[in-house]
Amino acid sequence: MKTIRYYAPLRGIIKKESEEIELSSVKDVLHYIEKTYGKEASVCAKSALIVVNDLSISLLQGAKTPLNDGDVIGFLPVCGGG
Amino acid sequence: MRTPVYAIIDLNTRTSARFEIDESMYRKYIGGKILGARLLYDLTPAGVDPLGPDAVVIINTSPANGTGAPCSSRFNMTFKNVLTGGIASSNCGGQFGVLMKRAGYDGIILRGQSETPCVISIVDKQITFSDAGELWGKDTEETQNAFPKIYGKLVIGPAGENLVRYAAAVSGERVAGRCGAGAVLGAKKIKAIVAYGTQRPYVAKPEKFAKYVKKWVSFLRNHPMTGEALPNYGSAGLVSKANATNALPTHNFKYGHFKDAQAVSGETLADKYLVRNSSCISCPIRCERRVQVDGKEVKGPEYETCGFFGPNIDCISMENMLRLNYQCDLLGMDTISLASSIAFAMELKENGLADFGVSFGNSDNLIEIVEKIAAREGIYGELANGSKWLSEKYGGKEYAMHSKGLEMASYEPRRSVGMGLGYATSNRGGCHLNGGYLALLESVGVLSMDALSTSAKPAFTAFFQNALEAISASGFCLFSAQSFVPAILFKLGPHHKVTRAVGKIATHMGGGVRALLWMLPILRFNSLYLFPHAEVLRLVTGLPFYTGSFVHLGDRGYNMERLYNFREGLTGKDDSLPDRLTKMPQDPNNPRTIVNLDKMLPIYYRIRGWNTDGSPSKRTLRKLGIRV
Ligand code: SF4
Repeated sequence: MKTIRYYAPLRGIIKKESEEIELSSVKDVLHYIEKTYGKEASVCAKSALIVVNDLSISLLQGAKTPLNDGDVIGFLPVCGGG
Repeated sequence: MRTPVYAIIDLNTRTSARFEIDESMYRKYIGGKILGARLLYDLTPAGVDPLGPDAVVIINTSPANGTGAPCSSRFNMTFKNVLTGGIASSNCGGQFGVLMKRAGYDGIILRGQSETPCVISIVDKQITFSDAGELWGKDTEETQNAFPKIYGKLVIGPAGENLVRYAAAVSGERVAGRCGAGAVLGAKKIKAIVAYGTQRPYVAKPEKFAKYVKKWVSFLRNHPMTGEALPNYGSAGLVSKANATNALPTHNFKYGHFKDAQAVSGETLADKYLVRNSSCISCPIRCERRVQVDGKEVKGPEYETCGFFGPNIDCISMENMLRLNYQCDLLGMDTISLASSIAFAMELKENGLADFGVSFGNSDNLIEIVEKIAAREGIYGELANGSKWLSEKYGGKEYAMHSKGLEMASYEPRRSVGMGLGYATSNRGGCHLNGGYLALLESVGVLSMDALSTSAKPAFTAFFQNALEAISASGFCLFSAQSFVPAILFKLGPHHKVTRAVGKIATHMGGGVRALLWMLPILRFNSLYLFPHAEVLRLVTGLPFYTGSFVHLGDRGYNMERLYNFREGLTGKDDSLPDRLTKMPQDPNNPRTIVNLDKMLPIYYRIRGWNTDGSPSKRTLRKLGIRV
């Protein structure tokens, strides 16, 4: 089982903080979001900072990053500044 | 044109004299930290003790302060850096600067040392002195509450009185945190400076100014960075971004990723602790967090505090962090230098070199310990001296995380090597902002240059150091500059192929940025999308400021600061980082995860027109019109 964690602004569209899924890659999760929650959610998910176990997928294998049991995939708001 | 009015305040005699800054000096150095650097250089002989009677403290504003332009409330303190011995400028968003300007002074210069603790009042051009009496010993909140609400206040807490080397000066709930701003006031026995007046700030072209400000405010409100991210998450929103790219200092910078970092992130802060957001005067961004501590609404933590009282000491208690943040404000202490010194002490203990009763993974006893540091009680007085001092006494220099003596901010430079170069070359020491803040383009922003590539970093670092210098010296909060990354990239997101392509191109654009630096004199345009600050400065002062001359102003300021450092004995040798960052790869399997300073520094010096020892060349000084 894997967990998806939604943060703003995606959380506002999906109306969920998290859910458990049984999918095997980040790409599958993006498809799942589009199919389940529609276009707006999909666009928002794709523009989020996507992390697997808190690491950006840019440092992993991008959308092809595989998901293993116990993994947590997060959709974080993109920006910040300090 | 109106030249700035300053007052020289002599603490020995408790007298003051009013004077105007010479027009040619004003045209060249404008205000804030740049004019501050020039004045400090001219007014002090080499080698003064920053806490001695001959030290000078300059507190000044900038032309845009108080005009109503976005994010324009920041005032500056320039003095000899207590931690590095070089230049210090510390910036604050409290009301004091605006009220001092309304009281008739663009700046004050403090010299001498009062015999007894005192308060300075600046009300409608009149400067008066009184004894601090029972205020001495009080925290910053109690001290400020002793004065009328309408006054702008700048005060110190017990840490400043006890000369903690990283003591802060506090205005409202905002702090001039870095470099020992509170200690230099404490050394002069100044408990508080208060100001009130009704004079309106000068604006050369008021109608055009009003129109432009309206446009800029709307631009900031509609930009994803300044209109959404900063208002929603504050700077604390960076915790999860830095963690996602291995750039979040963890266990005293040993690692760059902390598995429980989300517990102390901006998202968690917003979900569970945020009461509302707020702002400095005339700021449409409103990044300030308001939280509750023991049932009382207070200012929440910034990113640096979350990182340093969180993952950098292996802790995840947001409650402890909120309390520590508030306590530091009350005592008047910089959370960056304090928490970094504590992390260093934890590692000293781990390695059996010293025991200050602090250990990784435990923040429960820190409230008590922080109180003792502010009071310089027993061995805690040593922690009040900062990590450089501690490493000289106890060892561990290779993991004392400072540059020139000032503790670094919360970005792990082995995953932002340009930020590493910035830390090393920053005139005030390990500061991300004075260092050009390349972390925003390498590891924590939407756009990602190759964070490990050294190729374009010297050019980008020099460019952004100059730009941020000019923005700050003009009186603006640096967050107002974060809208220069095009909004479209935020819509596409960091993983989109276009965003990635832009990042890749930027990674190889060193030559382009170098050319840009050469072309500054001919960049006679201003753009809302780049540095709107230049246009506001033009409209406020009536002087011909354009993008090119604006960045050139920053270059002049940077070189002036550098000259001060050299005069005080800081040289290119001090453009350094601890061995942990330059010799020990963050990822033992990836040798690129170090900061290769040896490679970047000579290129950086060349781009800046500096000699091989890191000093500004005669030719560069001539080009910038700096005479010493
Ligand atoms: S962005 Fe934040 S720190 Fe900057 S002026 Fe606005 S409220 Fe103050």
